[in-house]
Amino acid sequence: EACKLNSQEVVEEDKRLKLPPNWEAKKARLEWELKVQEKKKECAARGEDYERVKLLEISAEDAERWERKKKKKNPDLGFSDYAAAQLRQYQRLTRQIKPDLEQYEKLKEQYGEALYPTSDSLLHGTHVPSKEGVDRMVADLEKQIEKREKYSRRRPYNDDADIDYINERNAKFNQKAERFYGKYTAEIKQNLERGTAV
Amino acid sequence: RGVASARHVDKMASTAAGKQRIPKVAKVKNKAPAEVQITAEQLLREAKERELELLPPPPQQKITDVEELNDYKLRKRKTFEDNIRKNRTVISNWIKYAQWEESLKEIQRARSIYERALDVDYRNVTLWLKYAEMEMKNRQVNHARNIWDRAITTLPRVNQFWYKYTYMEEMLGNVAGSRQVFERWMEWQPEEQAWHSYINFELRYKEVDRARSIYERYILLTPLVIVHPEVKNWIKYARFEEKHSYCAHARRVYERAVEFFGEEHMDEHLYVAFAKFEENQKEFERVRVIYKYALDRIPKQDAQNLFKNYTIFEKKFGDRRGIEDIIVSKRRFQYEEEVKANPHNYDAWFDYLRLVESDADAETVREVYERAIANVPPIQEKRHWKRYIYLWINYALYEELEAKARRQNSGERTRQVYQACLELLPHKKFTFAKMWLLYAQFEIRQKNLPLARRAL
Repeated sequence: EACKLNSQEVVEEDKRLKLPPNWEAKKARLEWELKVQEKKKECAARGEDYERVKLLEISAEDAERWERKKKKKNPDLGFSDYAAAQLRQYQRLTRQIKPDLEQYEKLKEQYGEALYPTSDSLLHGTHVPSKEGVDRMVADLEKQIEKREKYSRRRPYNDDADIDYINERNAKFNQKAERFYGKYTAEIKQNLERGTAV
Repeated sequence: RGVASARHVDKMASTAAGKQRIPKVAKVKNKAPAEVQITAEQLLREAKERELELLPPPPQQKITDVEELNDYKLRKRKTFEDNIRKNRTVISNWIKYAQWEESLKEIQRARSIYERALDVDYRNVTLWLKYAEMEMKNRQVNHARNIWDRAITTLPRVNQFWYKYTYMEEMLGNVAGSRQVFERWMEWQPEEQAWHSYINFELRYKEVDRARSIYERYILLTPLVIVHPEVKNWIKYARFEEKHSYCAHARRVYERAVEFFGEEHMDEHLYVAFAKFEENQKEFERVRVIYKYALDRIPKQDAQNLFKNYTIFEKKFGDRRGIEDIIVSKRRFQYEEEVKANPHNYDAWFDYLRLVESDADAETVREVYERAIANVPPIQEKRHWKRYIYLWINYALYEELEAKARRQNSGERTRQVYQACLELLPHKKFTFAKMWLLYAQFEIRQKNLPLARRAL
């Protein structure tokens, strides 16, 4: 009797272990989606808008927490000036620093008060960096340089685009002029092509 | 001038001579344009296809021994120096030269090139950056520190130098040095972002006390003329305290901020932030007090945000009365604005009146009605008056119904309203039959039949 129960349990446990790791999560998600579908059908039947009903049901606190959880996006707004670009790079780099706090504690014990210098303290120029420190700095610098290389990409060459240059240098100059003045001179160009103004 | 004319005369002479010898070729009989004209595009295409400036690439040379290497170096150096001699101020010539030397690991030469370039233009930011980067890449830490020190001394307002210097020191593990550079920077009182980067640096090493002291220095710093950024700084400070769960400190900061700004420079953001903080601390009474205080003192135009947040707060925690109060006062304010803007905008008046009726007491309602009626339409046209008449009608009805509910003898008042209205209407131009009818009906309701008959 007990043997039989035991062996059944063994079989079940075996099955459980064999399940993919996210089974619980997946099941929960599937159920959630089913519920959502049902609710939508209900609302459609009653003639209400599902979205509004949902919004009414979210409490204010939950809404706040949800908004705070949304990750802060940091889109690149195009080039404004070099200082701003450098600031953006600086913020990205410092966000990625993982300071070695144990090392820092050791430094604290070693230096004591001198770890908090003022602007004119005599600590300036006495530090000898360790090899790991220099390696770390150089590695980081290399990474920065590598990233910088990728900033301008090669544009494809259009064989059948109109040639308005006599020279490679001239071509680049025309492209630059187009970049800056193109949107303003588009109509003038069309008029010239046509031969008459509209 | 003389030379040009002499040349012209010569040419004339030669062509004259030419003409004499080959007369027929020179004479142009048909001066009309040819049928097939050449276009500008054609010219450009032909010019490009000629490829006059396209030189074949120099033959690939493999350098086999020291002699050839030295030769190569000599040639390259000569071209670079020539370019520099052609144009000293174009910094890219210098930078390309120095980068090439660096690629050959000739660090001393590269250094001398950079120094010469700095003699030409020490104010160029890229030059300093490239120089320091070269030293750093070749592990020359003290040289790099030297360069950074010179850069921040000669160009202290260029923030890139400071950022990169402190970053380098941090990467080297020299936290004390980094701190010292930050301190030197703060003496120049840079922009807010610089202060924030210092504070974040301290927080990275979990030095909350130092961060606090930096905040203290910094909030007092930005001058009083620019009020907005300052408020932001105080708020940031308080939020920082909150984040590290120093709630008493945070409260103290907010209180200081309120005192510091006093009554002249009030800013709604501060109060909103303060209220949010108290909300998080679950001190609802304080929140209400803060909001009321702020609303009383800040002129209504600036207080939009405040209103919004107060409403949300009341919805979350307050009771029904509180919510209604605040909503009503907000809407009332809105309508005040609207009617002030356009006294003849009767729709606005109607909405306002409806709101007021549902909420306030008789006196205020009457007041509003009086004001509404006072805005007589300017033109004697029925169209305009139609809306206006409705105002009157509503007023009369209100008096009748509302006042009756309070068991007052409002019959008199209503009659007065009707009579005033009828007087006002310029009956010669047009009549509002409705008015008369309503009056009559009212009188009937008041069981005053003779008056009714007379009216009709």
